[in-house]
Amino acid sequence: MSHAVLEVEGLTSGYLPGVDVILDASLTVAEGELVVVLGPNGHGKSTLLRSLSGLVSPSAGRIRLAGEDITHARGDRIAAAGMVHIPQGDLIFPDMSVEENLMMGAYVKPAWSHRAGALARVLDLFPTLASRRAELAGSLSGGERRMLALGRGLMREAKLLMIDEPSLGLAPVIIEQVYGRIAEIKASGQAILLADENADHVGELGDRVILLESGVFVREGTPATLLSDTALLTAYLG
Amino acid sequence: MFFLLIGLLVPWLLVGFGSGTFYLSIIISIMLWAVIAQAWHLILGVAGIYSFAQIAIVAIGGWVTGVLTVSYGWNPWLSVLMAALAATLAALLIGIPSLRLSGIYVVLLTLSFHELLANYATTGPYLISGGGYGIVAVPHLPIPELGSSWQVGAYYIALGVFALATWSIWWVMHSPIGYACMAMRDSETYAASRGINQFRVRLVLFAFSGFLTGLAGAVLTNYQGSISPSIFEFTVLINVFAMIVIGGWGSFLGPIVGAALLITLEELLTQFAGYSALTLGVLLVLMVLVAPLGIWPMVAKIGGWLAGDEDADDESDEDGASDDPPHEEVLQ
Amino acid sequence: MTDIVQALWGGILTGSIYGLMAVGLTLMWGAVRLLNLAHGALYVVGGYAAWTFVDHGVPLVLAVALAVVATGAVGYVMFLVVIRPLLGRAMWDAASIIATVGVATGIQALVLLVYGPQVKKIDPFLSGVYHWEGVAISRQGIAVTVIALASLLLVYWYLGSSRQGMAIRSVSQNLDAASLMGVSVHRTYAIVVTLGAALAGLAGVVLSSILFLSPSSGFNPMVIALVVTMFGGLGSVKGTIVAAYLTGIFVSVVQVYAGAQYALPGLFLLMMIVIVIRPHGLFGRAPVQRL
Repeated sequence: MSHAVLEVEGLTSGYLPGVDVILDASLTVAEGELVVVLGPNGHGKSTLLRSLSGLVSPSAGRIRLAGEDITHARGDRIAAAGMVHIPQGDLIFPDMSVEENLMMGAYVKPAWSHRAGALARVLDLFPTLASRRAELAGSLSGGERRMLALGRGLMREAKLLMIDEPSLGLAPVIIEQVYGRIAEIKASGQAILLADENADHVGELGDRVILLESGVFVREGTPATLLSDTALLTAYLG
Repeated sequence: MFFLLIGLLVPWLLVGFGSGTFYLSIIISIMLWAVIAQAWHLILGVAGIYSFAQIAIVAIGGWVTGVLTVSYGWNPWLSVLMAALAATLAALLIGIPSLRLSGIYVVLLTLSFHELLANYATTGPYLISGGGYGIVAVPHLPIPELGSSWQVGAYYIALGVFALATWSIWWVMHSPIGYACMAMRDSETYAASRGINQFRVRLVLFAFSGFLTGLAGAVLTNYQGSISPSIFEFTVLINVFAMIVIGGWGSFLGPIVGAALLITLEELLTQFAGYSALTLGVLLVLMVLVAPLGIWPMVAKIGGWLAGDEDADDESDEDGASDDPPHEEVLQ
Repeated sequence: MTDIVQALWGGILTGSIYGLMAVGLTLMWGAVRLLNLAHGALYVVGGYAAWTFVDHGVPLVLAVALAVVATGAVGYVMFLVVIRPLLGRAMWDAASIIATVGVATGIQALVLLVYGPQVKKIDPFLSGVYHWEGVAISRQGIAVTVIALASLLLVYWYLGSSRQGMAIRSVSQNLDAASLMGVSVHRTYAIVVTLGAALAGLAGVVLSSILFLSPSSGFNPMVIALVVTMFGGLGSVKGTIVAAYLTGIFVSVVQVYAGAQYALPGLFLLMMIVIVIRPHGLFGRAPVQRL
């Protein structure tokens, strides 16, 4: 029986007091599962993930990571507890080299001593990063930054890996590569919560899909059931 | 208008009742520094530009009148006018680059300007530096004897300057230029979208503020009879800064209240010179933690609340809650 | 030849001191976005602390070390009492300036009360002078240069290679990402302010031995440090070090060839020009709207 890696109950959250973007959201992610949160831009996907990783403080609800309550914990504590959030927009460190960015991925104490090994593994996984390892991250292209953000997220063990909009701003060819990597990561057994606007890869990858509209979870189910409902899809994603 | 009447009567009340010219001199001091504080506030609080060139401009006003009267024998009235004009020019010279720079770079630019002048005033040609002691024996502004002491005449001059400055600043703050500046301070993009020529408007404000500052500085120098490089000391700069911060940042009466408070405080604690500065430092810190807009807006609000009046916020025009904090994200 | 050596040596010495004065400022700006107008007061704290220890018979080297620690502690208290409460509030720019100005005023007043206005000096610990090409190079000057340079390089190494140093850099570059990596932003701020203050304390000790010490002697060096920091690129330690030596050499050259009274005015004038043409300095990023 799998234990829930992430349990969210009644989460209500927003950037400004009184202005909530996420309303009463509940979801779980089990070990090894890939759960996709699908929704148009501006409907709260990022706010949801940021509330889970501690960048935004929820106004109501409960969040548990592998049983530990992290609802109002600060970002660094949540990261130390095993949450890896690969944020929307990559948020790389522009004046650090590719290698230094990756090293920062292993900042938390348990990972720091193993960083050399982790670095070797990640560079192996992402040859483009390996070839640019000494260059400043600020000089990378959009696709390379995405890879860097992904690689950085893989530098330490994650109870839960959250990926926010992996296809944002990328050319279709690059999106394919990015999702290819994500598939590899899933195949290794990692629990993943993925948020995207793009439904293309959901069918192959996702174990469960949640539709998010205006801050509210409107539907939840397997890709098969949701994606077969073409009426829903066209209404939802145009 | 009511205040003006009281103002006119003050010297008679004070001197007439035999309390001597001591309190009169304090009031003169308050009025002139209040002008300097108000003028600085126009730049700092109304336009939102972190210029620290204020004392430098005061000094220019003071030095010009000093040099002209002492070394060239000018009529003090003319030299004061000249000083105000020179200060205006200086304000423009410093203002033009300042307006093109963002926030803290203006701090650096103006502090450099301040130190540059401080150095020059101390080590420059004798005409200016007086061997490091500044200029002494500056003649008072000539005015017919109006009572038992020349201070009475000086009082009316100061009152005149104060009234002129305060009235014109009030007028500017409530004029299209004033509103434009406040709009720009709070949101540059909004102001730009409304077609306000940011540069020109702020430059006008700089010049205006510079004129008043130079005027006050010149009158102050003629009143005190001297000016020295000690005016460039950190403590003087901070004193005026504190008048704005403690008195009320963003409100019209704030700097005036601040000037009155601070100069009075200084007088009360003259024997404990060190303690007054310490109190000042502590006050500044407390202010920023507890009452970031200063005393006057708080008083105005309390007064209004007591009177059951919703328009109490009238005096605290705009609170400058506009600087986007770089740490916003962490707190969420 | 004498002149060139004089200018060069003076430049290296001055540059080393400028670097020490400025590095703390640049750290605080880079990591905490704090324009520390209390930095001058921190020099003074360092100077007076060292002077007091020496006055009580503590051996010089120990006195200096204690003074550095003491100034760091003052910095930490400043962070707790004044900086941390302001974090995240609106008007951070203005509020932090007012707050540090308040601290500076308070410290200056306190020092004046405790020690009085008389100028003090810390005697150099090395005597003796070398002569080369007609230029007097004091051993004290060499010692100061070595200490300053070593400190600067140590800071640079620390930031570049240590875990905490990388955390500091990460906070300077992207707050959210740093948090996500597990960096405690507030703890990092505390470390930066304490470290910056300690460095200021060391600078203060050096200044006290080379120039003089009085409650108000910190203001002018602080403005110099501010412009050096700007010239190098606010927030860039490498930039600050380079800028410090460039300005040190400039000041020294002006002093040797034009006269001492033009040195500082020349510096401020030059810096004003730099601020106007290239505010981001040598290694800073071109201004991006920090909105």
